[in-house]
Amino acid sequence: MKSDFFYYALISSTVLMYGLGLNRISYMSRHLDKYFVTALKMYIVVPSSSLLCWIITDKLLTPAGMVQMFPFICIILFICISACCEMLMRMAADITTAEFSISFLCTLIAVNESSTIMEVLVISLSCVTSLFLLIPLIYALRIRLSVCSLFVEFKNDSLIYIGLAIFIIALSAWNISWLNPGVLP
Amino acid sequence: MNKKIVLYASALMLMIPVPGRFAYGIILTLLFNLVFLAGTSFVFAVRKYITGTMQSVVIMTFLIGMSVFLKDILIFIFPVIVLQLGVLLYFPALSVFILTAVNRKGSSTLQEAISMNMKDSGCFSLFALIYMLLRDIAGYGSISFPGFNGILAVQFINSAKIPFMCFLASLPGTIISSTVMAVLYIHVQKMFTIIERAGITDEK
Repeated sequence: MKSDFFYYALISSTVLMYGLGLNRISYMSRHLDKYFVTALKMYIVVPSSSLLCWIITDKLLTPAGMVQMFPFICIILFICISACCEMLMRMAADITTAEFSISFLCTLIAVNESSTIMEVLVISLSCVTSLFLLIPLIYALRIRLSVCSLFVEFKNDSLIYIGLAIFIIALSAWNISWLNPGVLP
Repeated sequence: MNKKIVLYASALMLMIPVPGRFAYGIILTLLFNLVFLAGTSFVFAVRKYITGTMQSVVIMTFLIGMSVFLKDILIFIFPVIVLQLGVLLYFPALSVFILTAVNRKGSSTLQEAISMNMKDSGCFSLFALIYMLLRDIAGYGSISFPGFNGILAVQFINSAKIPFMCFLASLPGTIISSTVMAVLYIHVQKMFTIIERAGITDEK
């Protein structure tokens, strides 16, 4: 379970390797005002909808031979849970399209890539963690870049994306590093 | 026009996590267009009856349902490719481009709405196909097409012998090369604007 968590949160980060919300993360990292509220909402909605969807897929769709239908069930459950969460946290903020898509895709990946109920929980939590680990990093990079005097061509998010590519290289470097016990037994 | 280019570039991000083969680009572009067409028709049909927040929810549910249906059809034609793409096949349904375009108002007939939206979708498809073709050539030294047992590739450069090509085929290589292309595009556009302005000044 521990290895699953670190695999989806860091080594094969769902944002960087699966490309889930690669374009939306740049938008979400512009302000950190609602960082904790959004994180809380996603930490509630994604694991709960993944769990419910996995149970329905395992107990109803698989015996009926209709596994392909799971995204459809997933979106219905996700919308219901998300709406309930919105009602409870009305003070916080409205759900944005970017946030909705990322949360839903996290749910899809968690249900698609797991074989036990514990795996669903761990993968969904690690997907959300990978997203919220990356947002402050990109925000810091954005602030650092805003201080620099850049060419006009680089003033859109170009350097942020190059930064993301460097994050991927840095995370993948561990696989081929000599410090990795797999390389030097 | 610039806003449209930004929207295309943002939608093009859905092609980045896909392996850089032209074959996958063809499948995703096909799926994108079919989902877009179905979404436009659906929105036109329900816009009088369902409004407000509920409309977005219904549209998203429909688009995902449509993706599930189209994936099932694609499984019969390209089973290996559909297996390789997996969850990525649901990405077009949730792309900003589709969600923005299907909700666009200003058309009175279905024909008008389809022709307006499909023009944008066609432009994006052209962009996406050229992008995937360039990735295939630069990263793998081949041009590939979808087939029943996987992809059919026409190899003309041995990419394994050129380390830089292997980097371009990887995910960080794709992100960096796409960003460099975008920066070059902005630079060329800036140069053209300067030339245009200089021309106007000379005429005066």
